[in-house]
Amino acid sequence: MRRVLGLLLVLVPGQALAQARPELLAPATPTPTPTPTSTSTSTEAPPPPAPTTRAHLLLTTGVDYRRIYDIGMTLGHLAVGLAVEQPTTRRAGFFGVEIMGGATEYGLAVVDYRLGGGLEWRFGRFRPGFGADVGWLTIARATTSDSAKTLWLGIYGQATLDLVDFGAGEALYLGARLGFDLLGAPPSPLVWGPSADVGVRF
Amino acid sequence: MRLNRVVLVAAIGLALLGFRCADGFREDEMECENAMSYLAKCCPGFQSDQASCDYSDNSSACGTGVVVLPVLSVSESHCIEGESCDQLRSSEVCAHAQQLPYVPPSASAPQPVCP
Repeated sequence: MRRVLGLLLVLVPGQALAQARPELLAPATPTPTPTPTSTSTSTEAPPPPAPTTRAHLLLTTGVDYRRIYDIGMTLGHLAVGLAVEQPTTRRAGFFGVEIMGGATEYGLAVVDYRLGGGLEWRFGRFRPGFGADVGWLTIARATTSDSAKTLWLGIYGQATLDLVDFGAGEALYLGARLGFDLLGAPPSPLVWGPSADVGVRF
Repeated sequence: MRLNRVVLVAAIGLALLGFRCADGFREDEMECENAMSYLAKCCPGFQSDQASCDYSDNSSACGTGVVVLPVLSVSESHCIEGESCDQLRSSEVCAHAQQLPYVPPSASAPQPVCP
Protein backbone atom coordinates (compact mmCIF):
# COMPACT_ATOMS: atom_id res chain seq x y z
CA MET A 1 0.00 0.00 0.00
CA ARG A 2 2.77 2.41 0.92
CA ARG A 3 4.49 1.60 -2.37
CA VAL A 4 1.28 2.29 -4.33
CA LEU A 5 0.80 5.66 -2.60
CA GLY A 6 4.40 6.52 -3.21
CA LEU A 7 4.01 5.65 -6.90
CA LEU A 8 0.86 7.82 -7.15
CA LEU A 9 2.65 10.79 -5.57
CA VAL A 10 5.35 10.47 -8.15
CA LEU A 11 3.11 9.81 -11.17
CA VAL A 12 0.31 12.31 -10.65
CA PRO A 13 2.49 15.43 -10.42
CA GLY A 14 4.45 14.07 -13.29
CA GLN A 15 1.32 13.78 -15.45
CA ALA A 16 0.21 17.26 -14.56
CA LEU A 17 3.60 18.63 -15.42
CA ALA A 18 3.62 16.73 -18.69
CA GLN A 19 0.28 18.32 -19.66
CA ALA A 20 1.40 21.80 -18.73
CA ARG A 21 5.00 21.77 -19.97
CA PRO A 22 5.51 18.66 -22.17
CA GLU A 23 8.94 19.84 -23.27
CA LEU A 24 10.26 19.48 -19.72
CA LEU A 25 9.60 15.77 -19.70
CA ALA A 26 10.62 15.08 -23.26
CA PRO A 27 13.59 12.78 -23.61
CA ALA A 28 16.76 14.67 -23.92
CA THR A 29 17.93 14.85 -27.48
CA PRO A 30 21.19 16.30 -28.58
CA THR A 31 20.79 19.85 -29.84
CA PRO A 32 21.61 19.88 -33.52
CA THR A 33 24.48 22.14 -34.23
CA PRO A 34 23.85 24.49 -37.12
CA THR A 35 25.78 23.58 -40.16
CA PRO A 36 27.03 26.66 -41.88
CA THR A 37 25.91 26.71 -45.44
CA SER A 38 27.68 29.87 -46.33
CA THR A 39 29.36 32.71 -44.54
CA SER A 40 26.88 35.36 -45.72
CA THR A 41 23.72 33.66 -44.42
CA SER A 42 25.18 32.88 -41.02
CA THR A 43 26.05 36.56 -40.35
CA GLU A 44 22.75 38.09 -41.64
CA ALA A 45 20.27 39.02 -38.94
CA PRO A 46 16.67 37.98 -39.61
CA PRO A 47 14.50 40.88 -40.78
CA PRO A 48 12.46 42.50 -38.00
CA PRO A 49 8.80 41.49 -38.02
CA ALA A 50 6.51 43.96 -39.74
CA PRO A 51 4.42 45.98 -37.26
CA THR A 52 0.85 44.77 -37.09
CA THR A 53 -0.55 48.16 -36.03
CA ARG A 54 0.69 51.73 -36.11
CA ALA A 55 -0.60 54.51 -33.84
CA HIS A 56 -0.55 58.20 -34.68
CA LEU A 57 -1.47 61.29 -32.76
CA LEU A 58 -3.86 63.63 -34.58
CA LEU A 59 -4.00 67.40 -34.08
CA THR A 60 -6.58 69.30 -36.09
CA THR A 61 -7.95 72.81 -36.30
CA GLY A 62 -10.49 74.33 -38.65
CA VAL A 63 -13.76 76.12 -39.28
CA ASP A 64 -17.35 74.90 -39.17
CA TYR A 65 -20.73 76.07 -40.37
CA ARG A 66 -23.83 74.66 -38.66
CA ARG A 67 -27.54 75.19 -39.11
CA ILE A 68 -30.33 74.68 -36.64
CA TYR A 69 -33.75 75.52 -38.11
CA ASP A 70 -33.05 78.66 -40.20
CA ILE A 71 -30.27 79.89 -37.95
CA GLY A 72 -26.68 79.69 -39.10
CA MET A 73 -23.72 79.30 -36.77
CA THR A 74 -20.07 79.94 -37.59
CA LEU A 75 -17.55 78.17 -35.41
CA GLY A 76 -13.92 77.14 -35.13
CA HIS A 77 -12.64 73.90 -33.69
CA LEU A 78 -9.61 72.33 -32.12
CA ALA A 79 -9.34 68.54 -31.93
CA VAL A 80 -6.90 65.99 -30.60
CA GLY A 81 -7.14 62.29 -31.31
CA LEU A 82 -5.46 58.98 -31.87
CA ALA A 83 -5.46 56.98 -35.10
CA VAL A 84 -4.61 53.27 -35.20
CA GLU A 85 -3.94 51.67 -38.57
CA GLN A 86 -2.77 48.34 -39.89
CA PRO A 87 -0.10 48.92 -42.54
CA THR A 88 -1.10 45.67 -44.23
CA THR A 89 -4.67 46.84 -44.78
CA ARG A 90 -6.27 50.07 -46.01
CA ARG A 91 -8.40 50.52 -42.91
CA ALA A 92 -7.66 52.78 -39.92
CA GLY A 93 -9.63 53.63 -36.81
CA PHE A 94 -9.57 56.93 -35.00
CA PHE A 95 -11.09 58.55 -31.95
CA GLY A 96 -10.67 61.82 -30.16
CA VAL A 97 -12.10 64.87 -28.47
CA GLU A 98 -12.94 68.22 -29.94
CA ILE A 99 -14.05 71.63 -28.78
CA MET A 100 -15.95 73.99 -31.06
CA GLY A 101 -16.69 77.61 -30.32
CA GLY A 102 -18.35 80.44 -32.20
CA ALA A 103 -21.63 82.31 -32.51
CA THR A 104 -24.97 82.29 -34.26
CA GLU A 105 -25.39 84.74 -37.11
CA TYR A 106 -27.12 87.09 -34.64
CA GLY A 107 -24.32 86.99 -32.11
CA LEU A 108 -25.30 84.35 -29.54
CA ALA A 109 -22.27 82.43 -28.28
CA VAL A 110 -22.10 78.70 -29.09
CA VAL A 111 -19.84 76.10 -27.45
CA ASP A 112 -19.85 72.44 -28.42
CA TYR A 113 -17.81 69.62 -26.82
CA ARG A 114 -17.51 66.43 -28.86
CA LEU A 115 -16.20 62.92 -28.20
CA GLY A 116 -16.23 60.17 -30.80
CA GLY A 117 -14.48 58.02 -33.33
CA GLY A 118 -14.77 56.28 -36.64
CA LEU A 119 -13.15 54.40 -39.50
CA GLU A 120 -11.35 55.52 -42.62
CA TRP A 121 -9.81 53.83 -45.63
CA ARG A 122 -6.53 54.74 -47.32
CA PHE A 123 -6.40 55.18 -51.08
CA GLY A 124 -2.99 56.72 -51.58
CA ARG A 125 -3.12 60.23 -50.12
CA PHE A 126 -6.94 60.21 -49.97
CA ARG A 127 -8.77 58.87 -46.91
CA PRO A 128 -12.58 58.79 -46.89
CA GLY A 129 -14.33 57.67 -43.73
CA PHE A 130 -17.21 58.05 -41.36
CA GLY A 131 -17.78 58.30 -37.63
CA ALA A 132 -20.16 58.83 -34.75
CA ASP A 133 -19.92 61.07 -31.75
CA VAL A 134 -21.68 62.41 -28.71
CA GLY A 135 -21.49 65.93 -27.42
CA TRP A 136 -22.69 68.71 -25.20
CA LEU A 137 -23.99 71.85 -26.91
CA THR A 138 -24.63 75.19 -25.25
CA ILE A 139 -26.11 78.23 -26.96
CA ALA A 140 -26.26 81.52 -25.10
CA ARG A 141 -29.56 83.35 -24.79
CA ALA A 142 -30.24 87.04 -25.19
CA THR A 143 -33.04 87.19 -22.63
CA THR A 144 -31.31 85.49 -19.74
CA SER A 145 -27.80 84.60 -18.66
CA ASP A 146 -28.78 80.92 -18.55
CA SER A 147 -27.75 79.10 -21.75
CA ALA A 148 -29.78 76.52 -23.65
CA LYS A 149 -27.85 73.28 -23.31
CA THR A 150 -28.30 69.68 -24.29
CA LEU A 151 -26.58 66.39 -24.99
CA TRP A 152 -26.66 65.13 -28.59
CA LEU A 153 -25.77 62.15 -30.77
CA GLY A 154 -24.19 62.63 -34.16
CA ILE A 155 -22.90 60.94 -37.28
CA TYR A 156 -20.62 62.31 -39.97
CA GLY A 157 -18.81 61.52 -43.17
CA GLN A 158 -15.35 62.87 -43.80
CA ALA A 159 -12.41 62.79 -46.16
CA THR A 160 -8.81 63.86 -45.78
CA LEU A 161 -6.08 64.48 -48.31
CA ASP A 162 -2.40 64.22 -47.31
CA LEU A 163 -0.68 67.40 -48.46
CA VAL A 164 2.81 66.62 -47.20
CA ASP A 165 3.75 62.99 -46.61
CA PHE A 166 6.39 62.56 -43.89
CA GLY A 167 6.50 58.78 -44.37
CA ALA A 168 5.25 55.88 -42.24
CA GLY A 169 1.73 57.28 -42.31
CA GLU A 170 2.72 60.67 -40.90
CA ALA A 171 1.43 63.65 -42.83
CA LEU A 172 0.11 67.17 -42.93
CA TYR A 173 -3.42 66.92 -44.31
CA LEU A 174 -6.54 68.83 -45.30
CA GLY A 175 -9.92 67.51 -44.19
CA ALA A 176 -13.60 68.03 -44.92
CA ARG A 177 -16.57 66.74 -42.94
CA LEU A 178 -20.36 66.83 -43.11
CA GLY A 179 -22.03 66.18 -39.76
CA PHE A 180 -25.57 65.63 -38.49
CA ASP A 181 -26.26 65.95 -34.76
CA LEU A 182 -29.60 65.02 -33.20
CA LEU A 183 -30.19 67.09 -30.07
CA GLY A 184 -31.57 65.42 -26.99
CA ALA A 185 -33.64 68.39 -25.87
CA PRO A 186 -37.20 68.49 -27.23
CA PRO A 187 -38.25 68.69 -29.98
CA SER A 188 -34.89 67.04 -30.87
CA PRO A 189 -33.96 69.33 -33.77
CA LEU A 190 -31.14 68.47 -36.14
CA VAL A 191 -27.95 70.50 -36.23
CA TRP A 192 -26.03 69.92 -39.42
CA GLY A 193 -23.31 71.41 -41.55
CA PRO A 194 -19.87 71.15 -43.09
CA SER A 195 -16.41 71.57 -41.59
CA ALA A 196 -13.02 72.16 -43.13
CA ASP A 197 -9.75 71.70 -41.33
CA VAL A 198 -6.03 71.22 -41.49
CA GLY A 199 -4.25 68.69 -39.33
CA VAL A 200 -1.10 66.74 -38.65
CA ARG A 201 -0.80 62.99 -38.16
CA PHE A 202 2.43 62.01 -36.41
CA MET B 1 -20.94 44.46 -9.89
CA ARG B 2 -24.74 44.40 -9.94
CA LEU B 3 -24.80 47.62 -7.91
CA ASN B 4 -22.58 49.26 -10.51
CA ARG B 5 -25.05 48.30 -13.25
CA VAL B 6 -27.97 49.68 -11.25
CA VAL B 7 -26.11 52.96 -10.72
CA LEU B 8 -25.23 53.12 -14.42
CA VAL B 9 -28.82 52.50 -15.53
CA ALA B 10 -30.09 55.08 -13.03
CA ALA B 11 -27.55 57.62 -14.28
CA ILE B 12 -28.57 57.04 -17.91
CA GLY B 13 -32.23 57.34 -16.96
CA LEU B 14 -31.65 60.61 -15.14
CA ALA B 15 -29.63 61.93 -18.07
CA LEU B 16 -32.41 61.04 -20.50
CA LEU B 17 -34.96 62.71 -18.23
CA GLY B 18 -32.68 65.72 -18.22
CA PHE B 19 -32.75 65.73 -22.03
CA ARG B 20 -36.52 65.73 -22.09
CA CYS B 21 -36.82 68.56 -19.61
CA ALA B 22 -34.12 70.70 -21.20
CA ASP B 23 -35.54 73.78 -22.88
CA GLY B 24 -34.52 76.47 -25.28
CA PHE B 25 -34.26 74.40 -28.45
CA ARG B 26 -37.77 74.83 -29.89
CA GLU B 27 -37.76 76.79 -33.12
CA ASP B 28 -39.81 79.65 -31.67
CA GLU B 29 -37.50 79.90 -28.66
CA MET B 30 -34.33 79.89 -30.73
CA GLU B 31 -35.64 82.35 -33.30
CA CYS B 32 -36.91 84.63 -30.52
CA GLU B 33 -33.53 84.61 -28.75
CA ASN B 34 -31.72 85.42 -31.99
CA ALA B 35 -34.15 88.22 -32.86
CA MET B 36 -33.67 89.64 -29.35
CA SER B 37 -29.91 89.50 -29.79
CA TYR B 38 -30.24 91.31 -33.12
CA LEU B 39 -32.52 93.97 -31.60
CA ALA B 40 -30.02 94.51 -28.77
CA LYS B 41 -27.34 95.12 -31.37
CA CYS B 42 -29.41 97.42 -33.59
CA CYS B 43 -31.60 99.34 -31.17
CA PRO B 44 -29.91 101.82 -28.82
CA GLY B 45 -30.93 101.18 -25.24
CA PHE B 46 -32.83 97.99 -25.98
CA GLN B 47 -32.70 95.61 -23.05
CA SER B 48 -33.19 92.05 -24.22
CA ASP B 49 -33.62 90.71 -20.69
CA GLN B 50 -36.92 92.59 -20.33
CA ALA B 51 -38.75 89.88 -22.31
CA SER B 52 -38.87 86.11 -22.22
CA CYS B 53 -38.29 83.67 -25.06
CA ASP B 54 -39.16 80.63 -22.93
CA TYR B 55 -41.82 78.13 -23.87
CA SER B 56 -43.57 76.01 -21.28
CA ASP B 57 -46.43 73.59 -21.64
CA ASN B 58 -48.49 71.96 -18.92
CA SER B 59 -49.03 68.90 -21.08
CA SER B 60 -45.48 67.71 -20.54
CA ALA B 61 -44.08 66.18 -17.37
CA CYS B 62 -41.65 69.06 -17.18
CA GLY B 63 -44.24 71.81 -17.58
CA THR B 64 -44.99 74.47 -15.01
CA GLY B 65 -48.77 74.15 -15.27
CA VAL B 66 -49.36 77.03 -17.66
CA VAL B 67 -48.78 77.48 -21.37
CA VAL B 68 -46.36 80.30 -22.04
CA LEU B 69 -45.07 81.14 -25.50
CA PRO B 70 -41.97 83.14 -26.40
CA VAL B 71 -42.75 86.82 -26.64
CA LEU B 72 -41.96 86.73 -30.40
CA SER B 73 -43.39 84.21 -32.83
CA VAL B 74 -41.24 82.54 -35.48
CA SER B 75 -42.65 84.82 -38.21
CA GLU B 76 -42.07 87.96 -36.11
CA SER B 77 -38.52 86.83 -35.40
CA HIS B 78 -37.89 86.16 -39.10
CA CYS B 79 -39.27 89.57 -39.96
CA ILE B 80 -36.95 91.28 -37.48
CA GLU B 81 -33.95 89.26 -38.64
CA GLY B 82 -34.73 90.16 -42.26
CA GLU B 83 -34.47 93.90 -41.68
CA SER B 84 -31.32 95.96 -41.57
CA CYS B 85 -30.50 97.88 -38.40
CA ASP B 86 -31.40 101.14 -40.17
CA GLN B 87 -34.78 99.72 -41.21
CA LEU B 88 -35.49 98.48 -37.70
CA ARG B 89 -34.85 101.95 -36.30
CA SER B 90 -36.67 103.89 -39.03
CA SER B 91 -39.74 101.64 -39.09
CA GLU B 92 -40.10 101.92 -35.32
CA VAL B 93 -39.62 98.21 -34.76
CA CYS B 94 -37.08 99.18 -32.14
CA ALA B 95 -39.64 101.39 -30.41
CA HIS B 96 -42.29 98.65 -30.48
CA ALA B 97 -39.81 96.06 -29.24
CA GLN B 98 -38.96 98.28 -26.26
CA GLN B 99 -42.57 97.97 -25.14
CA LEU B 100 -42.82 94.20 -25.33
CA PRO B 101 -44.26 92.58 -22.21
CA TYR B 102 -42.16 89.96 -20.43
CA VAL B 103 -44.47 87.22 -21.71
CA PRO B 104 -47.30 87.48 -24.25
CA PRO B 105 -50.65 88.26 -22.63
CA SER B 106 -52.31 85.52 -24.69
CA ALA B 107 -50.81 82.14 -25.41
CA SER B 108 -52.22 82.22 -28.92
CA ALA B 109 -51.11 85.72 -29.83
CA PRO B 110 -47.50 86.72 -29.35
CA GLN B 111 -46.88 90.43 -29.68
CA PRO B 112 -46.63 91.84 -33.23
CA VAL B 113 -43.74 94.27 -33.51
CA CYS B 114 -42.65 93.95 -37.12
CA PRO B 115 -44.51 95.76 -39.96
